[in-house]
Amino acid sequence: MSLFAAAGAVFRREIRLFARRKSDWANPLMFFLIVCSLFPFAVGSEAERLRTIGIGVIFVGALLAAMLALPRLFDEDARDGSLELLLTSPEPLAGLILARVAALALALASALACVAPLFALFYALPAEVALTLAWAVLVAVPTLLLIGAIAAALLVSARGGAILTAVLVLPLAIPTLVFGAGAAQRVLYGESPLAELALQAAFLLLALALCPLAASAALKISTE
Amino acid sequence: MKLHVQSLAAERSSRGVFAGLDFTAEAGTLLRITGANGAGKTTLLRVLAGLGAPADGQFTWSHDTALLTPAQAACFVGHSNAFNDALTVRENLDYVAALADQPRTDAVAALEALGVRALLNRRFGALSQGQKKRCSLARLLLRPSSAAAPQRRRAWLLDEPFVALDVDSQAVLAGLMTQELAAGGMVIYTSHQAVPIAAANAAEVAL
Repeated sequence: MSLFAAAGAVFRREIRLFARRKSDWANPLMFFLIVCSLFPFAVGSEAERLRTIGIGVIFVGALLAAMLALPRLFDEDARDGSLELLLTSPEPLAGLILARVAALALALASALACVAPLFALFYALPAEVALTLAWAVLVAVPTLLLIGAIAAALLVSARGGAILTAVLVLPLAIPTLVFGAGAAQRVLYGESPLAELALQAAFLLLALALCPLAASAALKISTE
Repeated sequence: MKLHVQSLAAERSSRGVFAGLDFTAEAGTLLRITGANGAGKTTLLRVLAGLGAPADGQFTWSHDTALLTPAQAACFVGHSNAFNDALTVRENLDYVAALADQPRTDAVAALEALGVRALLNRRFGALSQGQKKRCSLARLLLRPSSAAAPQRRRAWLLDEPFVALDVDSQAVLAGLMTQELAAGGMVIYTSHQAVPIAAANAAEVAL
């Protein structure tokens, strides 16, 4: 039972920090907004052309915005020393990391998924496509954060870690990108997105099972 | 509670800092680690706390006949305070207690013992260095409140605990260490300050 108590404490702390520091969630959202609003200026404003690129732009924008939040997983804790508390807890580290990623994913994925349909309006996408897109973002962002936790753990307090994190993480996030954007594309062509969404969810489950273990191993290596 | 260290060697950034270290410590022992800057005092404490693997040799924490993991046996307070600036002192202490498997602890009593009861609901980032250190040291005193079952004491591993403390607070901390030892705890510390600590059973390990 005490793993649940400890993991619960990690989760609550993370949510509390999120609520207390506006920049934690405002920065990724602002970044997302800027990326999505720049493209129409660059490619022109014909509805047909925007519809073609819209899904891809919004999806990639959401993933990049989520990447921005990755350093906060462990870097701040490494600086103030509270990472030692995680590492010296008698509870399994993987469970505690999962709780922390879950809190970050809950806050960030829901925020990004809420605004994604609004941005779909910029790109003249129909409402059903916008909703599928929001759902796909809701699944893709936690997947990305789980994979990213491994890289963040490996590169904790490393100089220039942010770029290296992106290099390590984004290639591994390609499956969820392909299936997520593919699902919205299906809806755009009037087909059922279920197959793509199921594959995307399967990928999330795989990440859920493997990534916390890998991240805890990586964190032990990098802090020794 | 017993610590047994056998031909222990450790590295920092792939360079050996000490090797062939042997000592044992029993409950009630005050053990001071001495050595010049860079001798590996902090590294030794981190190894004993389970934060780093030894390069060679071994150490065991045990209680009666049961072996303990470092996480179960020791409570490490290092140079950094390990508190988050955006949270209040109480929120930080509750987090520490939950991670250390000691829910329902008495954070107020712990702060009271260090004379910083009034800082309970202050944001940690707004405190002075000395206040921060005192609040952070309250981690050592987190125990289940009286109703809960008594728990085994954990050995204190203190890395330069007197830094940033004023003379009065140093005396308070020394008093708390004496109390802990008398109650059957174990204290292993490093210090460059000559703060007198009353202990029936004191020893030194030179690196």
